[in-house]
Amino acid sequence: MPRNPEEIVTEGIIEFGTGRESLVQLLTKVNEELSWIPTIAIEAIAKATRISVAEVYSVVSFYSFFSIEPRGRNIVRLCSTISCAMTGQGEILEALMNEFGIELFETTDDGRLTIETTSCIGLCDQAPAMLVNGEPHVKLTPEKACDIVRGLE
Amino acid sequence: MEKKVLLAEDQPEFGAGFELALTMTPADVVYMVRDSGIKGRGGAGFPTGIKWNLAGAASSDVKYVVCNADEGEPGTFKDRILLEKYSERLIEGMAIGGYAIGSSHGIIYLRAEYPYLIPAIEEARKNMIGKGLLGKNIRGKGFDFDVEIRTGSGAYICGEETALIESLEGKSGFPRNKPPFPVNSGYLNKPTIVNNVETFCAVPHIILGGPEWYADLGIGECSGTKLFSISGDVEKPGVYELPLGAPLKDLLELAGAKDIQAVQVGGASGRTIPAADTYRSLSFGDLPPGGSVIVFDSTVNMLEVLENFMEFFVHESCGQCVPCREGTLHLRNAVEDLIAGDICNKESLNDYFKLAEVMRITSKCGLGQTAVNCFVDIINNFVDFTDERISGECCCERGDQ
Amino acid sequence: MHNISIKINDQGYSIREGSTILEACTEAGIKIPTLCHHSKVNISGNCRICVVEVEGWNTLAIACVTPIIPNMIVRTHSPRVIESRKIVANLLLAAHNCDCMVCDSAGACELQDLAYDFGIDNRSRMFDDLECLEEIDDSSPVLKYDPSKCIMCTRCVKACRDIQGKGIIAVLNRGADMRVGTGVKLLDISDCDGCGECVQICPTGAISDKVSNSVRSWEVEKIRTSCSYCGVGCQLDMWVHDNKLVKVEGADIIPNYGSTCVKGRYGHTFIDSDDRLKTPLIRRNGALVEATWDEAISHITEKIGKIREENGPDVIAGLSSARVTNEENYLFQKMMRAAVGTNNVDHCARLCHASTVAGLAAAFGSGAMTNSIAELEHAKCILVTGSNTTETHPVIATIIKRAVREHGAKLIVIDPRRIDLVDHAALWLRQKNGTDVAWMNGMMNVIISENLQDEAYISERTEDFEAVRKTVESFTPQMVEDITTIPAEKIREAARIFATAEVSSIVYSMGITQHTTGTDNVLSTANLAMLTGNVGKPSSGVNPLRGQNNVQGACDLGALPNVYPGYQKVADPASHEKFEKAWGRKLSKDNGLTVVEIINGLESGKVKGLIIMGENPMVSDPNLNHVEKALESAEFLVVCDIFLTETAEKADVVLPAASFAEKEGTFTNTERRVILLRKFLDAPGEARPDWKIICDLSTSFGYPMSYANPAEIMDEIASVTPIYGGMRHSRIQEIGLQWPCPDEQHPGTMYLHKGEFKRGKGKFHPVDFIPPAELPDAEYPFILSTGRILFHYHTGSMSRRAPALNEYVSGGYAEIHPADVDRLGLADGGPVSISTRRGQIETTVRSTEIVAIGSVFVPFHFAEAAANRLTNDALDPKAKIPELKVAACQVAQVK
Repeated sequence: MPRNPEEIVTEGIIEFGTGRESLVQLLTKVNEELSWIPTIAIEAIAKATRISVAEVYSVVSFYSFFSIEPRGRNIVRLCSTISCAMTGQGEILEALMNEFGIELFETTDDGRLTIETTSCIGLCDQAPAMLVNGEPHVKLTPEKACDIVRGLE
Repeated sequence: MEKKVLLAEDQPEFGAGFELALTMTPADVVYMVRDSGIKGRGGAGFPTGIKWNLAGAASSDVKYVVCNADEGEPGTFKDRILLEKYSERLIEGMAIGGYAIGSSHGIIYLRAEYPYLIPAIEEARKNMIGKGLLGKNIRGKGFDFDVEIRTGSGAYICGEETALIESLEGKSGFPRNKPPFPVNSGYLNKPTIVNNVETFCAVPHIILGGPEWYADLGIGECSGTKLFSISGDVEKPGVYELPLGAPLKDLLELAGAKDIQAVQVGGASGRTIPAADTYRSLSFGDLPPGGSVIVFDSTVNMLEVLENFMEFFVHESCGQCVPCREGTLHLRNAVEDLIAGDICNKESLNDYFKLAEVMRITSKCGLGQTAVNCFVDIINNFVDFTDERISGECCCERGDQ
Repeated sequence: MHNISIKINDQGYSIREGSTILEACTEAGIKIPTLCHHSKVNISGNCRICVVEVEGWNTLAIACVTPIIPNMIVRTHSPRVIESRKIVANLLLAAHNCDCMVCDSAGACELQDLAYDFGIDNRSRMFDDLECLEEIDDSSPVLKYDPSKCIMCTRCVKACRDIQGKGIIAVLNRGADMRVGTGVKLLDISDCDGCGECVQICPTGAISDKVSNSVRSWEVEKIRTSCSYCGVGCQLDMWVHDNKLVKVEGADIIPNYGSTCVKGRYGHTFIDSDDRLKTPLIRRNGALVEATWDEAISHITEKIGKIREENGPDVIAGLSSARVTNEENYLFQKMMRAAVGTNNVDHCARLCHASTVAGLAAAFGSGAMTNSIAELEHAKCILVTGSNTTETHPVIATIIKRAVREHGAKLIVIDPRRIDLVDHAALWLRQKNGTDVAWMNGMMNVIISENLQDEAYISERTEDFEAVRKTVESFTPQMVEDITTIPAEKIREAARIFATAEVSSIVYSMGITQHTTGTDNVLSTANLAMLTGNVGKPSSGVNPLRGQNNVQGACDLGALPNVYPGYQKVADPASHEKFEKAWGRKLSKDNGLTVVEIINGLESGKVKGLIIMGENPMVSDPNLNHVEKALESAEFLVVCDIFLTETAEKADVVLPAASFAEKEGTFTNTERRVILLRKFLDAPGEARPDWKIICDLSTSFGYPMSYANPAEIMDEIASVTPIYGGMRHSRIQEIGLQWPCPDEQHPGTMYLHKGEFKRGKGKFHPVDFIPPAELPDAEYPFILSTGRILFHYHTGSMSRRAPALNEYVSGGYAEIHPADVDRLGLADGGPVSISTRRGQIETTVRSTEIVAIGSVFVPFHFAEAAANRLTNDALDPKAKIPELKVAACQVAQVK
């Protein structure tokens, strides 16, 4: 069971404090643990840091790794920038979407998986590449990518 | 030819440069860095010594040393290699920076795409602490220094130093108006130096080898060596260390590039040149030596490459200033129109070229100013307006113009 | 800063160092177009319209953010510059929904101006229009956001965050998806309170008034006047078309500098309300029927004359009004004193700040805000107590928030409720209601025991300190904790912050004054300020915020039973003689009756005839059941008002008055600033300005009054009122003047008691703690307090006729802590019965942690659930102010 978002925020505040500069760290903590940032977490952070709710949303919506929509336990981020695009990223994405029955930026009904594309992840020498829950996977083929994702919890 | 310093198999022990620096005055450290002629390895090429000198001169009890590890330029992965293997060198370089400008706080801003590098950096920090080279009163010199890791959250713009600072402050990564510059008013409005991973990694070598030695590593006017990440249509993609100022073709040879149609140097915001121009040098005076080189062979449709880049910029523009926010969108649309055949002659692009120039001269930060480079280069050099791909089924023939 | 030489367009200039290129050009008289730039908010430098060429630069310079440097060579209109500006304008237009033909902002749109100046028509537009027709957020009662017209200049975001201190809206997303919004919520479920700062600062039609003006900016006449709501005295520009008020804008001038609250901007629709009184009414056979002015005036004269003849003048009383002008208050009390011959004149200041007038006059010699509103922004510590400033004086609250946010002031809030300012405070102390003397003595105890007092100030400027030192000795933090429930450590912390700040200011309002110990409370604030040397210098002082638009002026002009205009005492023979001479009549030497005494007098027969101008005691006064009986037992009641109020319904004669919109005159705002009221509409029907009505009545009473206009009345006021000696309408056409202003050359007084107190030395008064008159017990276990809310005003006669305000709050409610709601089996939004020993009301539960467990708060604006049916009319013995802030009550389910 995922933890209560407010509990995560409370823990984050002990770790990072309530200064303005703690905001991105607090959001990162919630986002990493829950895969997304629920409204109650935003409100709790706003209250603790005395930053307005809208301003917290502003920061959340600026960064592409943050999400205010629920996402899957596992997040696949497929690099869509040039070196990966040239080496078959499109086919891999197609394969993943077919295999798991979701569109880009969608989450499977069981909450297991979200597929996203992302800007260059710095693995161009081993393209095509993706990050799965932050871990790099390189020199992908459609089959290899599907195998990796299938093996996730 | 390769010249390995930062990536050398056999290199000085981590911390040796810092130990030596501690025997000098902070001012002397700054002078050494200045005299080495090293310029920012992130790509902007601002002389590091001048930056440190300004920050050192700024009066403040609290100053910050920030490492820009937000390597986001498409095609760039050199810092990843450094962070994987040479984080101790990086921290050492930051400590030297802290000693030089009078700062006890180091922050590594690591891009969100590299979380798997955190253990290596933390390990390096522990090792440095173990050697007594981080912490309080280091080597009894009354100098304190430590580093913390902060991560980004997926925003290319945060590679811009003031956007990075905003992000560190918990805000959206909107680049600031300059002046003031970070050396006077950076993180939390305190004097701050922001340097690239590679720059910090080079500093201990400068201290140990001396500024003349370092300067002589480069070719011609250039100082030192430089890491280049090369990918695309090459046999041996990877990171290579060359003397700064080396001709591009040396690098292409090393990586095994064949059938070259175009080479993009310096990433999406860099320049795109034809094979005939690969004799040119990788230097701050010529081809941007930020670190990315992508090779496209003759089978590649360069318009599709351009579309990918423009899409990248549309997605990564922070949006605060008008020319970049709106301009990237219109340039992307123009490229899509070209691909769709809705634009089929160069004259129709006149307004877009004017727009590109306005973006270059009026955008707030480097992103908007350089996002137009690939548009201008690729349309000018790699789009054949008589080619069937473009005019094959164009708007004129469809009669919908 | 010295000047440096630069060249602009080949011409040399010497400009102050540190200026931006834009400022330099403005100084040189060269116009550079701007869009995101606005003088009231931080520069963003985002629109890139103000680009200029600087010789030697590779890129263009942004004029609004680039500082000049010596020998800089600037070109503001080179071909490269012009082309860049045009292209940027083209980019904006391609993303903009250019429906100028039906846009309310046409003619007042900065983007439209730009397109016009650059000659960009539809044919010469460079780029294809982008898809921009997103949905409009019109969920707010007062404003709407149309993203299709937004150019992302972010002025509104900064206005909301930095000027208003709210941060309701922010920039969402990035790049081309960027927009302004509240987050996931629409405006209606955000904390937006509709102040409209964003509307005012928006350069296009992106954020606009929700209800279309149906008139464009060039069709209207804009008339500047003073707001008719609270005591801040905001200056407003009224947009008038065809004798209709179509839009309100905050004037960018002292004291509000463009800001207003939701009432000021959207709450003036009452003027045009259908049920305005249009003819005089006389009660015949039990019913009020229309009459002519002549009939009404002679009827009043006859009745009042008869009562006076039979019982003498002192059975007649008058209630003047804190809402009408200074000139009208002056004439009203003059009429009561000279024409009727009694000092029985008072007004509702009795119910709000009588204790301030009494307390501060005793301590300092003058009973008004010592300092000015604007000075608050630079105080280093602000102690706010008994004032829910955000709701009652919204524009002052924004200044307090800016002091905290922009200038690093420490805010201490001491309030039983968790008011909005708590979110901005360094420290919040929640005292038990009615224990204010205790915590103030406690703070002084700490200051003295830690030797933080200003000894030099105390010895040079004040007297009787020893007595206070002695009294507060026993008020140790621990003892104070026992009385107030504020933790001892917090008392110490507050004392230290207050005493050690470079300059500290106390801001209070009715949480301090409306107690049986109201005067004691006020004296304690004065003690605390003097102890720390915080009176008589900028940004310091004791600052009672006055509630109604002209409550300060009504007091100043003598609508009080014991003083003539300018606080000249009736009991002082010299003053008495002065006014007898000035007014040419014998005047009564006896102090008159106060509001509550007048009401009580009606019942006892001590008062038989009552003339009320613009007041509504049937809602505003404590213990309404009693008030109702009293008014019903009046022999003759005259009410002059703009609406048939709850009080007017009980009158024998009702006179239709002109509203603030329909007359001239002056108000005096809470900072003692006399500000001008300008007529911008014609009065409905036969309604007349109060000053004319008073003149007619007085003349009919046999004491002729005749003035050509209110300016002439002010001239007379000046001649008899030293603190207003220099006030003339001609002097306050642009900005108001603060009293004391003794002569026509005097520039007015920003803060009082500089160098010397009005009374000579500041007087310390030892004050002991006395508990409130009525405390919770087994039968009435809850503490009830009452007060105002942002969206309504006083008895609601104005604000409840503004549909937008009703959309925010349409009726009464009681704030009850969720724990109590649960315990009593109530439901949020459900009915509740609240009763005290004096009365009972049924209202709606608002479950909120704003109030403490065991406390209830009921706003007093709503006649149908009138808080004042519950309140205690126990009086402060000195100021005769009732204890509206503490009563014991029962809270129960509705049977």
